[in-house]
Amino acid sequence: MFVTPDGERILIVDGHTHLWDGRPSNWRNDYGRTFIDTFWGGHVGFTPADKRWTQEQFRYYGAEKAARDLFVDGYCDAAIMLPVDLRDFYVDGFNTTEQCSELKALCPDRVVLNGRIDPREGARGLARLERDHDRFRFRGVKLYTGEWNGISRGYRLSDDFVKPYLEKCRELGIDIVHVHKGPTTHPLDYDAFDVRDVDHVATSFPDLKFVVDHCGMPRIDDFCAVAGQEPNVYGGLALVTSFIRARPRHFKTMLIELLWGIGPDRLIFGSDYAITSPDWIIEAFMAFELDEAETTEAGHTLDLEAKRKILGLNAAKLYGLDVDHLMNLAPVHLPAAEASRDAAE
Amino acid sequence: MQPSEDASSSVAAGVADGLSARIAEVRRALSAIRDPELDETVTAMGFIKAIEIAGGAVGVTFQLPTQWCAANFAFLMAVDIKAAVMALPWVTSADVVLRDHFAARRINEAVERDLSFVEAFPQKAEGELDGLRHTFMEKAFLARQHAVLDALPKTQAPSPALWTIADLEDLSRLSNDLAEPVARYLALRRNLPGEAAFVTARGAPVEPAHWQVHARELRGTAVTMAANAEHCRVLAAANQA
Repeated sequence: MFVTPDGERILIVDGHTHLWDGRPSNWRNDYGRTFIDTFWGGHVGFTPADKRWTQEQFRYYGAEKAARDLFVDGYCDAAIMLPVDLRDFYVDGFNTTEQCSELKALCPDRVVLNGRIDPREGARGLARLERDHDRFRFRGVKLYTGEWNGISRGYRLSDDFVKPYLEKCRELGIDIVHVHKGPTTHPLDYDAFDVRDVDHVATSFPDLKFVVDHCGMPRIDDFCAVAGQEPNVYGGLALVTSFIRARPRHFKTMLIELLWGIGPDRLIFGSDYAITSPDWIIEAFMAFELDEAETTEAGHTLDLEAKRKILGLNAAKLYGLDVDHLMNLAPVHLPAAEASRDAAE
Repeated sequence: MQPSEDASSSVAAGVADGLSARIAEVRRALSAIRDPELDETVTAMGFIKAIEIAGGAVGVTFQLPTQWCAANFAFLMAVDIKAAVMALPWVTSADVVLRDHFAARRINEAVERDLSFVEAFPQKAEGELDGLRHTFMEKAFLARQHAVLDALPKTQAPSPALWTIADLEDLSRLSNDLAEPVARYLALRRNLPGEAAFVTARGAPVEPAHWQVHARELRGTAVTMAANAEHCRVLAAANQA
């Protein structure tokens, strides 16, 4: 919870978090190294200097540090976890549902644990989704279209083999699908970041909700065109909000486009933890303002109500979280000896 | 980073002047090559890491902000770099090396052997990159048009929707702030038909009644491309840190 100087209590839901193992011991090949190193570049590039971690800490931080960074120091009342396997690069997977479940076990009332699907896995993947769902009871799943899987370098949501997976989600009552575009896809000559295939599935599955991670970055223009037409498409703000301190001018223009394109009701804050941590983004976002001319351009006022929606209420509504319950939970207590945050600074 | 300076440090003393001039010539040729996804030059983005010259043989090493930048755009840049260097009259061979990239080996080998993209990635690609290049040329066109409109005084009568290319050229001669964005825009505008100054990416005139919507679309594309380029700069800087 964030409390304004006027005493207003703001629900905070971090809509995009991970618990990964990017240590050398887990690298299957050199792609394992380069993948986590690319994330590290994002951490260094966007995180304010006084908040940066060591590279070793960044590769593996564990559930307790995550709980501290999110729920003790990071203002979050709840966090949504988005797993991805990446078993082609990591021996035990990078950020699997199993790995993420450690944080869920530590803070069960505050963590929303999503599943992951890879529609290229056919009948075995469908069976796995059922098994995982039996165990964890998902509201949502994440898919990463850029993931390598055997000889495949990625896929599109309009591919025929995706449909049975979305039908299975519907059957299981999983109605939220997080879509993350990556740099590879099939075919490789196609723009892998293009989000227009989301339009295809959003129209075919109007009862499912599609959250496009990073608001389609680096294709925000295409994302706005799709989300503007499809009421069941949401924008996950992870990475966009990370620009707020390092590149405030770009953050502002992107936010104006997003407010104009889809409005404040379908934008969901996310820190992309542990690429960076939510505390400094939330502080900067609460202090952030649009002037009169910018408000006209955005077509929406970025007032306290809009900030409440973006920082927590939209995600709570999407996931059916009980706002009063979350805001009245007992604070998270962690062993004081594990002052991992202090050690980082 | 100072790629030319790095490269010239290996130059033997006596012929340094001639080689420096040739390195500068290569660098000038490379400064016309754009990252198609960003519509920024590879030199301005700092992608060129080394230029080496031995007689007519030129080596160019380039690197993108991350190991995971899209392979198709990387391939286009590698091909364009090779063509630009080979176009210099004294060049007999051009060795283009993309380094620290997940598809570097395949791309470097393909460019060395002048293979097409489909030949380079036989099971992974279905077509060549003309479509991708065209899509991003259209985005660049829209973003450059936005840059012109952004440099104009805010209220214009008559509406810019009614201007001709000649009107825009006349205006740009009167303003230093306009000259560069107008030149950049017209370089792409001239590939499309008609006399209207501001047209859609397909070359269709914009009805005055539709002008606001059009201007809004331009803005979305321009904001997106600028943010992408900035993202790349942030990651590139972090990589070197």
